Parts: sequence; structure tokens; C-alpha cells
Amino acid sequence: MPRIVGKIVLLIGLLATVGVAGWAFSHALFDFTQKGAGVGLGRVFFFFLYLPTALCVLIGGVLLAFRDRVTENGVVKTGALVVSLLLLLVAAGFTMENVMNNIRYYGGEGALGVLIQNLFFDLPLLLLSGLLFYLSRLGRAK
Amino acid sequence: MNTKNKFLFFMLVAVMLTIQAAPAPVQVSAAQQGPSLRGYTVETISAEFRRLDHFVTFKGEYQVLDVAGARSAGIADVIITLAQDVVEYQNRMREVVKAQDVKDVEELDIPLTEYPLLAEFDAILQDYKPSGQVEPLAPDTHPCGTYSHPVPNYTPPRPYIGWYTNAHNTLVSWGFHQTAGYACGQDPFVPCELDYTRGRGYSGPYGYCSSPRFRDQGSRNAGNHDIWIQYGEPNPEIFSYSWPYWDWGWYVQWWHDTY
Repeated sequence: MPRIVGKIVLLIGLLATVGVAGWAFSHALFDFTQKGAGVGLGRVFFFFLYLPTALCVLIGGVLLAFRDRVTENGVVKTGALVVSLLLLLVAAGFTMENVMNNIRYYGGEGALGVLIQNLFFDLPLLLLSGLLFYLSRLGRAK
Repeated sequence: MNTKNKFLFFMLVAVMLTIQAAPAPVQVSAAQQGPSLRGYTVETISAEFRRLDHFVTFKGEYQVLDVAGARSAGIADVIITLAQDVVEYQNRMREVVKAQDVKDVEELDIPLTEYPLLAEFDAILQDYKPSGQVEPLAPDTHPCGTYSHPVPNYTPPRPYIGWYTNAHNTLVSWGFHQTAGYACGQDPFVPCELDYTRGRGYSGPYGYCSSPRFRDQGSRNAGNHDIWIQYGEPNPEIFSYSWPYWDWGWYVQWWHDTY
């Protein structure tokens, strides 16, 4: 039963990933010659919000449907651990930089609110990082 | 002198005395009289002030009115003079606040006598009562702007400011900082090289949106000499200040895609 549910979740995750990738292409987010506030914010939304959310569903589906194969594959587990830590670093770095900018350039007005806002915005990235970390720690089912 | 002549003599003296006692009519030329706000209402002045938004800029901490630009836009001289009074008054307020370390601007008492048009406008405002039938604001409006009522609903002009020996230092001295990388479409962890931001508030048709939800965007050329400034647009550094409403970040992205 969990395998069937996992495959359905995986399918939803795949569709969501394709969907957000399509949205990103339609907004020329991968054309890195494009500059400006609109495209810059679009990239942040894509890489910090839309893509991690879709990938969370996708990886959740993989974990449910193909848990055994994942636990047997050392390369996947090591890769998941590395990516998990990198995502954590990116989320922490981005949040710290934004809070510092608030203090430096905007007089620290609402710095705590900015911190909470950034952490909320980082949730998909943190969730994905946690999921990958969990995946990397999975042992063989006994 | 007969009675008739006496009467005529007294009448003549009386007339002369009356003329001397009466206040001499003041010969005032149009230039001496100065401009007046006669014929203007609070509403029409407010509307004219909105047209002046693009012509009031900051040089450092102080406001500057581009008189030539305002004239070329067809704004009446009396409104420009009034705006000059307002700008000078506000600059003086800033000076006094700095010099006396005043915390609350309401404590300031700068007389309006040196600003005749502003004094006249102040008098009009004292007597002003908004008409009872105030048009209610549509529920989908917000002082900071919404998708259906964006603020501003045009691309703000980006005038060339001038040539400077060190454009970067000049922009920084005017209160700008290099824009966060993500807000100009570059590496999110590296500040933009040629793009600068100065947070500000914005008075729009739906009210006042508090600082730093809007910004002035400064830019310089790679040679570090020429400066352009675009005044008043939603601040794309959305992760460095608190949002006025929950989907502000998406609205800012939409605004910058649109205008």
C-alpha cells in the first residue's frame, strides 16, 4: 500500500517539478543574460520556493515507493547528505545576509520580523534539506 | 468775503483735509504683489503636487525641485513657487532637526513668514473642510499598490543626474547602497555592481506607503562617472524589510515585470 501511495506522490511531484520548470522557462529565468528586479525575484521564488516544494513531494514519493533501492545505493545517500548540508548553508546564508542588510541599510527596523519572514520563506528549502538528510541516514529495513 | 464765498472756501478746505487724511492708495505692481493661490482649491493644489512628484529629488539629505523640468511639463508658475516654498521649508526643518537634535517634528516652530505662498496655502488648509461626499476607496486598493491599482501605474522616469569623479562614492554619500544581488537578477550572494537602492516611503493616490517599501534606484556606468536615478518604485529588496501585506513579494515581482 505505501508503495502505491508513494508512486502517486512521486507522480504528483514529477508533474509539479515539470510545471514549475515550465513556469521558469516561460519567464526566461534560465536565461542568465537577463537582468533586472523582476527576473531576479522570479529566480529567488523559483529556487527557494517553487522548486524545493515540488522536489519535497518528489523525494517524498521516492522514499515511499523505492525505499529499499535508496537504502542500498551508497552514492545516492552520500549525494543526498551533501546536497542537504548545502541547502542548509544556502538557507542560513541567505537569511543572515537579508537580516544584516535590514540592520545595515534600513536601520534594523523590524529586524525580528524580517528574520521570521525569511525563515518562513526558507521553509521549503529547510524541509527539502531535512528530507534529504533523512534519506541519507536511512538504513536497510530489517 | 460774502456768505457764499465763505461756504465755498470751507468746502474746499474740508475736501482738501479729507483727501490728506485718507490713506494714500498704494501703487503695487503685479511683480511686487507676487503670485497668489487665488482660484486654486486644496484639491487642485493636491492634484498639481502629484504632477510634481517626478521633479522633486534628493541631493544628499535635501530635496531639490527641478523648476525647469516642471515648467516644461506645463505646471503653473504659482504652483512651482509654492512647491519651492514647501521644499525650502522642509529642508529647513531637516536642518533644524539636525542642529537641535529634535526627536519630534511637531516640536519645531519655524515661522511661515518667509514663505508667503506656503503661508497662504496653510491659511487655505486651516479653513478647509473636506466635502461630505468623500469617494470611498475601493477595497482592492492599498497605499503601497495592488495588482488592480498599482502604485505607481507607470514606469518612473530615469533622468540623467550628471558626471561625477567617483559615481559610486557619490551615490553612497546620497544614502544609496549597492542593491542585493537577487534584486537585480544577479548572484543572490553578491551585491549588484552598478545598481543602487535608497529605501523610501511613497505618497500615492491611495495614501502613504511607509519606508523602505519603495526605493529610488540609482545606477552608474561601468566607468564610475555617470549617474542616473529612477525615483519611486516598489523596493525589490523584499527580504530585507517587512512586507505591508502577505503577497507583497509577488506583487513587487509582477510590478517590475510590468513596468
